[in-house]
Amino acid sequence: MLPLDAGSGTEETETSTARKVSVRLNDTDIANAIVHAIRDVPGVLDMGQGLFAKAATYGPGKHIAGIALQHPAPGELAVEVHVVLDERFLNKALADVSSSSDTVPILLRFTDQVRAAVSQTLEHLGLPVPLMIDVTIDDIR
Amino acid sequence: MAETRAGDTASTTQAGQNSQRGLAQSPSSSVVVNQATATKGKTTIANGVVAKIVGIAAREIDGVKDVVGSGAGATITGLATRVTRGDTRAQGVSVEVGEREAAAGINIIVNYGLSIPLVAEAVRRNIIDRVEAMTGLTMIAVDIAVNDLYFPEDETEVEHPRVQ
Repeated sequence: MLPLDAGSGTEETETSTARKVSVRLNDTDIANAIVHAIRDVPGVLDMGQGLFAKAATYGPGKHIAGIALQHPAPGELAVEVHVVLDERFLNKALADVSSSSDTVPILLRFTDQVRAAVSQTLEHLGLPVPLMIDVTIDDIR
Repeated sequence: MAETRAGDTASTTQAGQNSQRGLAQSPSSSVVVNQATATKGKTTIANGVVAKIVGIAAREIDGVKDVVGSGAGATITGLATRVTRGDTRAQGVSVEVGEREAAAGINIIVNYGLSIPLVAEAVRRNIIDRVEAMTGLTMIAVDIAVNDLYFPEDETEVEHPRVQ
């Protein structure tokens, strides 16, 4: 499921079961895995392009749009996600909200799901989950 | 096998000499990498080799249009090299190579519309990864200067011929 290759990388992960084996991951590989997970979140139509400057993770020969990974300090990860929301999903959620007693706003619930997808993927890869994951809804289509 | 172990040597000797962060600038333009185990011959890596790796690594990143020299002198040199079909891969790159460490400076042109800090960080990472993997040297600094922006629309402009 995860498009990972153990090439020359930036992030080292160690699992407790096999401490001698360290997997090295490129930023673009991590970004790719996260994008795969985000696309499965209901309501996500596409990855966004960023509002003012193109948000992407750049690597040799390719870039992964809609997600910006940064390393504020060694071993730390900051994640910024840009998504496009599906209009049909929003309409359906708006229709449902009048009948349910859920008080959490639709968009916040949606962004929380995106955030959960990001942290699950990072956990799955054995990477530290950042405290802040910025999610931006760039557009509704 | 002595030459293939250059990387091992660089990393093991570095552990003991971590306190010496400064670059031990060698007088010659090439550097002996595996001096510690130079029992069966030595491996030398020329400055130009590191410079080329740095130049290629920077160009690999999506969003980097080109690597260019800065200033009038570099412009003329670049033009001359291009006309004579010389190797432009190391142009716009300056390197300092020590015995175990290296530092590089690079001038790049970035595509318009991208986040320059993100692109620069990707360039820095790729340069460090490539140089360390290929030469066994430790990169202590990569200075990036964004000298110009490139507008992709400029190239798609169609020139209308005067004669139909």
